[in-house]
Amino acid sequence: VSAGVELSRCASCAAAFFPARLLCPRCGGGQWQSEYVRDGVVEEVTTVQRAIGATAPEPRLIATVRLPGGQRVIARLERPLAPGSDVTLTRDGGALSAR
Amino acid sequence: MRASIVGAAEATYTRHPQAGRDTNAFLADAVTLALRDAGLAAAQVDGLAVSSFSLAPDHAIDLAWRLGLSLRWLLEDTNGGASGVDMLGHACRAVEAGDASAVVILAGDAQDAAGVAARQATFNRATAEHLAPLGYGGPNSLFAMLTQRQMRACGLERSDYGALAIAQRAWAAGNPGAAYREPLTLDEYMRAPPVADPLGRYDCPPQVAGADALVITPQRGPGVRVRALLRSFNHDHQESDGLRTGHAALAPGLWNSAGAGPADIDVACVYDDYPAIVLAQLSDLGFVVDGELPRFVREVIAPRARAINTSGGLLSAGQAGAAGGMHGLVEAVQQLRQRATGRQVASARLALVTGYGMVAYRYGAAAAAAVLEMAR
Repeated sequence: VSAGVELSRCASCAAAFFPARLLCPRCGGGQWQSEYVRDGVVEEVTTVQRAIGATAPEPRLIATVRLPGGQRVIARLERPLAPGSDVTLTRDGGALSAR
Repeated sequence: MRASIVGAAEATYTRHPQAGRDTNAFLADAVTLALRDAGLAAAQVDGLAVSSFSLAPDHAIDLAWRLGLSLRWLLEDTNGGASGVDMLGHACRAVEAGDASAVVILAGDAQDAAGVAARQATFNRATAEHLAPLGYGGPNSLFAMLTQRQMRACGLERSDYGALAIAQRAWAAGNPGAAYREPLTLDEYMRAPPVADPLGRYDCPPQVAGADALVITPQRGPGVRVRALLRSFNHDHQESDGLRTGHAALAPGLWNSAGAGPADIDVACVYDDYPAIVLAQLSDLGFVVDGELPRFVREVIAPRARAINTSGGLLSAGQAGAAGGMHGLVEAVQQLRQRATGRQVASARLALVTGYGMVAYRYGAAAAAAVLEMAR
């Protein structure tokens, strides 16, 4: 379990992005600093009933979460939450989780 | 553009891949049919562009070899739902410049559910690293949330998306090539198995097997021509809500270049991976005069007051992978040539075709649009 979402902040103009970019869309800079963000607010939630090709339904909650800097990330919800809910983001293995 | 579209064909879409009929078989059929339509022999073809999610490990050169084509111009396009219009633009420039004299543009896929799932899990690096591990279930979840945003921003209800799906199904009844032609009722739409709320079964294009092809030559006499064609890639860096597509960026240039506006369009083939994306594109391209999408659905889409997605679109005709980006082009050409039997729009002269696709992280990053005309 990691500290949260890994944001990439441009060393030249301080704009921050997720996922990581190669060059900054604002200033063209290529030097980045990582920082971790744990706080977010749920914007939308959907229940995916089953993945294409899945034989049995395995419902899961997928959410759009807005970070304090305005970036939006896609995360898995542990339990149903309404839009507007404050959440804490953690990264379990490869999966970003909001609770 | 000084080029003519002289052949168009769709290798019949089938709901399920058939034994021994892989992607290559459908691509070969589409080429054969399009060349027959154009009255050209394979030996006369000197350019090929192809888009497919299931060519691997082959590339365009391998396909050219298998198709028996000896070429001086070759392109593999990887812009998904925008690839059809994109390839058309490249092909027109190639024949204008004299780099080729007869170009086939081609797209198709024949993937089963497992193939589609595998493609969705490894669609790009961001997907493989950040979406697949969530069990995101493919783009349905992303467009479900985009649809929620559009409902909130524009005051749309689920039944409005239903009206669009029902109208396209009504058009499909006139298209013998559509995979789904039975009338759809609002009750059936509302009660359909949920996919990812608010999306249900009829909001998602059914995956089929098939392929589409066009033949492009230097301009010759009367026929179908491309009056304007523009693209937009990565217009907002995935930093917005996705409700404003790349079409908003290309629309002013498109209409200026076409010397026409939305009101002049007789037939519109609008890329319809989801109903919300049809509405977003029509809005971005200026079809919704007062910006009131609920009214537009009620007064234009539902009564089919304008000819939009006359083939039934991907939602009813089916989506054969990358062929989804060419399906609307083939339909527009057939309409302009007055060959859209069963659904012909009387005296169709100007057509709009849009493409949209390639979800970079949260929504499509590629858009392309063309205005086609029947020149007499």
